[in-house]
Amino acid sequence: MKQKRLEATQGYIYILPSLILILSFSIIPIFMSGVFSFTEYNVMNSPKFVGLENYEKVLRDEYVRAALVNTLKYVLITVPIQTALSLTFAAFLAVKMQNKSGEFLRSVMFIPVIASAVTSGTIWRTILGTDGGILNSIIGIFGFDPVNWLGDSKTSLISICIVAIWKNVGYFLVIFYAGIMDIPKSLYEAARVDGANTYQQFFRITLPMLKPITSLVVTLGIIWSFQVFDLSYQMTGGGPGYSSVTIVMAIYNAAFKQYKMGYACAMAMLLLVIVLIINAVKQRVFGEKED
Amino acid sequence: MENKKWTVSSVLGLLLVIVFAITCIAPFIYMILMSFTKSTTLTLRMQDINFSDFSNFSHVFNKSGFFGALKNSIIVVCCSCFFNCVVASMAAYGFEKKRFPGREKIYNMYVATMMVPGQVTMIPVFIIMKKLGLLNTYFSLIVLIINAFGVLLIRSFMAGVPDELLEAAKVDGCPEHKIFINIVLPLIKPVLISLIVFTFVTSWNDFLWPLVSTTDSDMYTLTVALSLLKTQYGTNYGLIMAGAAVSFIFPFILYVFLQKQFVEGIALSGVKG
Amino acid sequence: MNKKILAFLLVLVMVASMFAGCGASESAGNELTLWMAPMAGSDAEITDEEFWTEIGNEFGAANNCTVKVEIIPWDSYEEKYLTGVTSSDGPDVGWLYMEMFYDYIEMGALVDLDAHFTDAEKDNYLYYNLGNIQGGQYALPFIVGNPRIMLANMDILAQAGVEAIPTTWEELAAACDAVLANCPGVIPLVQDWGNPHYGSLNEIFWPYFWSAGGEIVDDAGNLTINSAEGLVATELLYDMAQKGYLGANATACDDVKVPFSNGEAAFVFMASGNALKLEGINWEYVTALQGPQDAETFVAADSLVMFESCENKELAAKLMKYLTSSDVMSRYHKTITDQPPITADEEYTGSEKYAGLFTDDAGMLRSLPVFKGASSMYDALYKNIQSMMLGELTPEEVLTKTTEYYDSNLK
Repeated sequence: MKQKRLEATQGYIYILPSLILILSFSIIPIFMSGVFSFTEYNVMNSPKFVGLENYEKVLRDEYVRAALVNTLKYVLITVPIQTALSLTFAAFLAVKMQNKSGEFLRSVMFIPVIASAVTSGTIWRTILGTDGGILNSIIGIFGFDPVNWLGDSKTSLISICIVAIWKNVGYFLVIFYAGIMDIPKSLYEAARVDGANTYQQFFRITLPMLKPITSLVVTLGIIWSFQVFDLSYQMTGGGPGYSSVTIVMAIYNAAFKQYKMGYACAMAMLLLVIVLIINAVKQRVFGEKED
Repeated sequence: MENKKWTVSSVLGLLLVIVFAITCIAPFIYMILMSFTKSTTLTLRMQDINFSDFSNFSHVFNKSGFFGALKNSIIVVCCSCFFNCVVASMAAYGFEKKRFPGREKIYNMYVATMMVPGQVTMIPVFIIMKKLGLLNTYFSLIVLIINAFGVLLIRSFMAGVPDELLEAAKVDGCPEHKIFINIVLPLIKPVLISLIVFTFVTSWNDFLWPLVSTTDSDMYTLTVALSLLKTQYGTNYGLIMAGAAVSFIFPFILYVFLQKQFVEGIALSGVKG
Repeated sequence: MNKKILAFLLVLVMVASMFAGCGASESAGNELTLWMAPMAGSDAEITDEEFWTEIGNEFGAANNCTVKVEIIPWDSYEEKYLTGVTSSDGPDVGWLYMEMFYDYIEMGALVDLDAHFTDAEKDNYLYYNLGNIQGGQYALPFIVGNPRIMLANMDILAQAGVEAIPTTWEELAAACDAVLANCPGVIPLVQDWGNPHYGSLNEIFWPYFWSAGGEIVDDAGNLTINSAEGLVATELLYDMAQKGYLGANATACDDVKVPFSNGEAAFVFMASGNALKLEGINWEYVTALQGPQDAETFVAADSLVMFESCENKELAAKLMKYLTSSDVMSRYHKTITDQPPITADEEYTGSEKYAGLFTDDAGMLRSLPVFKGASSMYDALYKNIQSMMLGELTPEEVLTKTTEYYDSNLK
């Protein structure tokens, strides 16, 4: 009995520092955010209860709608492409290049992960410059007209997506590669005996075995994509027009430019709901249990 | 699964991989070249490049506060890595190896917080930090890096630490904290490295929170300083690229020397997380 | 045996609080924080920070205190002020532009300065009354100048066969046509619609808007941009874009200085202080173009303010007086930015080019009104005009959408 109490005390002590931090900077703030979303609050004066007004406004706000649509587009473009690319590259390197040069290629592709999003955005902003930017010069050699990458509402968001994919592939590649390496070799040998070619091996063994990892990559990709801010802040500032505004940027603007903390919290709650829904859908798709 | 036959499609695949690898480094080479020019136009002319001219770098360090920003970033990153490891490994040990009432309930709460994007809690956290007078401190920059992810990661690894080993140590009269420090920590070293790498990347990348919470230019981190450089020197591309280079070079050097740890760390966080 | 763990925890807490401690600034009564805006050119020898730090040190030496100087970049100006003022680390003395006043006065964050100035001092300030906003003397006008004027590259005009600098909308259109016809590769009128900040409206929208007879708000504070006059101005902009006067990629341009100083543009609207930093370009200017109603353009009316959080208001007032003294101001106008004097005892020593700008043409200069949600309204308007430039909105839609947004979200 005494032993049990001692163990419990020890347990609490071990988790205490972490628990304090999680409580005060994750859990309590979620509830605060919920409460603030029903108020009008500009930080200087005390919050004023306004009921559902913020939510009504958020749903009617065109700026928020543009931000939502852009963010969804961003998720739908980046997540599938970066997952497919990193999986393909990982599978290719695992099958064909388990050697020094393959290792070198992997470490090169990891470099964009090391640079911060702000650094990447800064570099790509100059590369994608319209008049005389290096990418337009390069495509000019092949006879294409210069593209107004960041200055046109049709291409600004896509440009940001491309940079995001460029930055993320290396990260997921490393994860996929490790996952492929973990698959027992005997499975492949058995398949080869049965006469399966490389593609059949990929679709019948690699892909099913990688399911938990793919699920993780997709989840991480979606969560990161919904939080996109740095790249569009640095590359376009949300423009031109509303063409590359994201949800987080809308939250940031409402809170720290327009001083409407309550309104921003309502948007944040909206973001939370969307992420939770997507998570639930994902668990269905990948057939995971709730736990 | 290895297949050394080179068919047409696999050569195409190789080409694709190589092209992608080139696009992964080309922008950084471009950045370095640009940072040695005085260019105010986007076009990079070879005759503009002067590798002995460090004036952009000295401007960035001396007049744009990159020296302080670099220092802040390094302090914040190192402390985040250290404290995250300490806090997370303690908690993971508690959750995995100690039985106490409410254990799984609290743990599930941790898991749930992982689904909440940081931006949802940003405004209340800003208000809390403001009330505590902690804005513009290293504390506020570090503490938000520490989240439930580390606990989840380490706990899944901690399950592999055999209970018998700990029991045996206890029977031998080894005090509790020594069991943790001398037995458990060495056993979970790979996952700690993984957590350090992960924390390093997140914390070096961190932008929104430092942007919001620091008003004192002495407290800016590199990401904030770099984004402000853009607004101040819009078309002075040489200078901006020098700033980007400074913010890139430190993690890059670290990566070159600790490549294996980086790659394995990320891989492990994927397999275990 | 858990004592050691407890001890370890204590150490952790102590280390953490140490970090907290060394970051927080101790704001004693003899330390002032001064936030200023960047005005020097990006390649200037003396940066704003160096200039104000020196001034701050002079003041500190004379008054036995320290002045901490912070230069806030324009792009994140409003965010930095908000976070600064709401946290305890904000400025004691700051620099606000007209768009920002309403919110800060509403919050009760600004000090009414009237009691801190004697009548003689007030009389010495040329624009003291301009600082009387919403029933209180919340502002000390600091830069009343930097009007947005239209510059022309005279060499390009000569090449295009245009003899005199245009002074009306019609003449400008004719000159742009001539440039398009005779000078291949030259943008007739370069505008920075790619700038992420709405501040560009001051150069490239309000001058047309006012010259068409538009008013931003009425006396009751209602937004009145959606008027016949506003539409005339917006359509003018739209037509100019359609006719190719603004170049093919106006929404990609975020700095007009570069194409203009490279001789790639014939006309540009620019702040008078920045125009003097151009090198190697033969330029002339016209203060404001004659539109259907008027000839008016934007003039900055930026002010120094004192925040309620300031602990030593006497000292802060003294600092404000020192900053606006004719000695400091004339040094500032000489080394950092060429502006007209703000006090009676300073003489204008700037460029001869502007001899008539601040006297004969003074009637053409207007500053922005103070009203609720001003900066957010400008931001929305700016983004909608950007969309118009890209062919996604019509001029009517720009004005109705902005007004609807303002009425439902910002009022």
